[in-house]
Amino acid sequence: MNSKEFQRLLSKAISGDNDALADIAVLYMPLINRYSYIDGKLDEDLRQNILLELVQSISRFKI
Amino acid sequence: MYGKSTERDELRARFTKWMQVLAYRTRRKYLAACVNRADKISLEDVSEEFLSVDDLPTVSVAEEDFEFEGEALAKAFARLPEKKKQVLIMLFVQQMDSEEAARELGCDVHNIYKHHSLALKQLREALQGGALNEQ
Repeated sequence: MNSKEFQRLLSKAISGDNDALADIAVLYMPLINRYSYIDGKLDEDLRQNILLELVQSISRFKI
Repeated sequence: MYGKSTERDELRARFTKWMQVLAYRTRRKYLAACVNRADKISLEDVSEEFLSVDDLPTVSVAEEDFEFEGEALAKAFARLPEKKKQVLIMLFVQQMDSEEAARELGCDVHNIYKHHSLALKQLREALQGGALNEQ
C-alpha cells in the first residue's frame, strides 16, 4: 500500500468506517501481536484489549 | 509532489508511533490488572486456610491466631532469598509495577514475574506447613 492509499484508509477509519478500521487492524496486526506476548506466549485477551483500545481511540488521532 | 509524499510518509510514521504507545499502555494496564488479580487470589487462598473457624482450638483465641499468622508470615518472609525479598518489597511495599522493578534491578521483566510467583508460592507453602505443625 502506498502512502496516498494509507492516508485515505486512515481518514476513513477515523471518520467511523468499519471496513477501513478492519484494514488498519490487519495492517498493524504484527505490531499488535508483538505487544501481546506474555512469557513467550500470545495472550489473546491482551490482544483483544489492544484492538478494543484502537477501536475506541482512533477517532482521537489527528491527521 | 515530493513534498506531499513526504508528508504522507510522515503521517504513517506518526500513526505507527501512536499505535506503539497505545499498545504499550494497554499492555501495562493489563499486566497491572493481572498482578492485582493474582494477589487477590493468593491472599484468599491463605485466608481460607487460616481463618476457618473449625481449625481453631476455640473461637475466643481468634485474635491470637491472627498474630501468629503475622509472625509466621514474617518468619517465612525472612527466610526467602534476598532477591525474592527485594522483588516483593518493590511490588507490594513500594507499589512499583513489574516493569519498574525490572528496570531498578537491571533484569528482564520475566525474571520479576518468576521471582514474584515463586516467592508467593514459597510463602504459601511455609504458612501451610506452619498450619499443619499447629494442628
